[in-house]
Amino acid sequence: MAVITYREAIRQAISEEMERDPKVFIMGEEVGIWGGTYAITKGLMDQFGDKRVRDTPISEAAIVGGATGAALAGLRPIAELMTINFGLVAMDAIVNEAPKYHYMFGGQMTVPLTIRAVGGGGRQLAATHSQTLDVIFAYFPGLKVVLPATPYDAKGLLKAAIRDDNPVLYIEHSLLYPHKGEVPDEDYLVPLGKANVMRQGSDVTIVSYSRMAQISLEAAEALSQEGIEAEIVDLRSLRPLDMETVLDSFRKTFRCVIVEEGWKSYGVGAEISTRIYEEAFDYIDAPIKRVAGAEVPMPYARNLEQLAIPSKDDVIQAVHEVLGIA
Amino acid sequence: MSTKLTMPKLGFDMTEGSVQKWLKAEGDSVQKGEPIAEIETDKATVEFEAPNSGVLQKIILPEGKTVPVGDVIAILGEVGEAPAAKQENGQQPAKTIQAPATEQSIPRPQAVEKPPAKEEAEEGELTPLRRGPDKSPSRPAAKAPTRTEAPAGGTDGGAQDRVKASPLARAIARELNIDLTAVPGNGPGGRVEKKDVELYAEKMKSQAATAAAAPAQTTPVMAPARQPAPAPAAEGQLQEFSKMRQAISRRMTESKQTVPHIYITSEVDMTDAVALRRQINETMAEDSRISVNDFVIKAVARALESFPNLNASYQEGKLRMNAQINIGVAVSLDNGLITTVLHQANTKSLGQISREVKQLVKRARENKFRPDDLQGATFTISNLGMYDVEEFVAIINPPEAGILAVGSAHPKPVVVDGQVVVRERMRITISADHRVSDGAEAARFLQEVKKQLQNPMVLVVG
Repeated sequence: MAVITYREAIRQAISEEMERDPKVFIMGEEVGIWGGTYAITKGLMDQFGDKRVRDTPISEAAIVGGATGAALAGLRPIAELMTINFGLVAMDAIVNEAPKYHYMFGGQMTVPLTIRAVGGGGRQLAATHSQTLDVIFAYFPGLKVVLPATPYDAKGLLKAAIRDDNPVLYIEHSLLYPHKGEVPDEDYLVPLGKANVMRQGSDVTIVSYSRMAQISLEAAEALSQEGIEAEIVDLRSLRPLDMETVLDSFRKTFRCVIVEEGWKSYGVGAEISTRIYEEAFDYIDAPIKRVAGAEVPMPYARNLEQLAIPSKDDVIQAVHEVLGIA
Repeated sequence: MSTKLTMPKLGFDMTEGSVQKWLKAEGDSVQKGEPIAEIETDKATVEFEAPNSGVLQKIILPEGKTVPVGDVIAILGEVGEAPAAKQENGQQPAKTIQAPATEQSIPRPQAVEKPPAKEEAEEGELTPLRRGPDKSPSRPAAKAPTRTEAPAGGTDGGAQDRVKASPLARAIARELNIDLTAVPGNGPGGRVEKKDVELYAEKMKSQAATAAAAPAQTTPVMAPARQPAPAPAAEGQLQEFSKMRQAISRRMTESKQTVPHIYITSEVDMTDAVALRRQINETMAEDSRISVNDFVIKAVARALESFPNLNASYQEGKLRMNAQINIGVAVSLDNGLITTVLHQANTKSLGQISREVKQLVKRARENKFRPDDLQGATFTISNLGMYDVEEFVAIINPPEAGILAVGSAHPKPVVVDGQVVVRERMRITISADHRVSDGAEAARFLQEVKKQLQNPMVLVVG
């Protein structure tokens, strides 16, 4: 197994899928000649030509709208959004067009569309470019929302997304791009909608995803020094949501902390904790805690931005609280 | 400060109880330790003593009504303290509430002695006029009992006596039939959590129910209780077990199924003990005479000092050593039997043992136990001597390690120094928990008991 970066894992997934299936192509701002704002698509235009690696005008509505049309016509497009924040401009195509066709027209057509976007904060890109909008998209039935936390998942989930006949929003985290991990040399898929127990533990379940799963992992290692063994469930996708894995873990630990980068209100933590109340009430041994982003537009100043994003220490403190040792 | 008096837990098995009789009325002053009520459990009636001195402010539980352990049954106030102004607990039926003195001065129409709202509703009266009298805001009791009984797990409750516990702790408590009000909470803010319930369950298990049923039927000192003539039963008729019968049935089955019994019998020469007893009793009033069983109790308690294993308890694969030697005395009753406990019997004189056992048996017969009477036995003696029994074997009363079954002492021809002579002989059989002890140890213990009984002066002097 090779050790590669999250960025490279995504690049390999795109490249391998384009090689495997001539119907797969990618379109977006600066994906071609420039090689992508985050250098994901570097070299792909040389490899596959400008028909399959298409630079587009600066219009997200056109990118996702056009890709949706291509998917309806039988291709398997990958639409790249420079950041998820710009996805708001393409909201109609993303949530009100792509996810609806198959359902509204009796299954006559499918929309095998993959939308890639970068989300999250931590790079001093200020309020409009640092948001975590995952839950907004996960709200809509018909759209799968996938968020890898490791290079292994980044590659396996993207390949699965490209091969899926439904529209999939695949949200990367810019701070994870340099993150390294083992990835198999052979072709593999990570099924959509199946959470991953990243770390076994018996004292508390930490539910998280994307970069916050890595932060939770760091917290768990520190907690282990204190003799607290946290089990980490990486959701991998918000829709479908794999509650079975979460509940299995919870029924083992009876305590839960949910960690997300987005705002707390109406968030992933609200959803997960409510489902635990609904489905595992008699297993609850302590109030469930949410660790989430500060409810402010993301500050530009580095120190304030750091305070607004959940940290390892925030996770440790929350775990202490649910264990009653705060 | 007023104190809430709750339904006490008077034995391992007890989950609910009722007040058979209030010995004090509202407003009566009580001394610490003074019996204020008779609590009826499934096994016995036990006097409930005031935990501190004060005034019985309010009786919440009416006589005869059964509530779970931990439910508030009365409020005890300090001397001179005004009764609590507001209703402390939502569970009391309105009829038992008497307007406290301080409130009587406030003019209040129709006071509190009206049927609870629930009853109204059940009458099916739909006319809104019925609610009219309820509108008086100054009447706390008018809100009436919304809650009548807490479930065994204590999962419900008024705001006042609600236990802070996690849903998981509640689920486990429900499963184990544990009263959460009795479980100390070690979570944040005193919340009862899983580990607290488990710890408590562990503790309760180890304390076990020495007070529950006793093994073999016997009446030691006293003449057997009168058996009422049984009513002729119809062929095939199924009769419900009494609660005591259920407890005996459950515990004896548990013992026989889980405790590997080993039995050893020895015959004791009681000639000297019988003679000594006769000699002592000649000087005693009839009601203070010493029985053969008193000698046996003394001898066993003394022997146990040298055999701590047989005074220990089997507990979860380990041996729990007991500092005190508390002898359980099986007493037969009209409707079953019960083991009363003579605490620290080894430290008591023969006369003291005799007097205390008489009291214990009397209280057992009258069904008026004190909490100590039923708890803490470490070794039991079952004596069927008065029924002309040669010998018998008894069932161990868990978690005790042994029980001694005592037969009748009667004249027998035996060989002494090559001559056939007539002696008073008595057979004793120990049943020992073979997990805890072995045949040889149990036999040595019997030898020690025998030695004491055959040299009865040491029992009088020691």
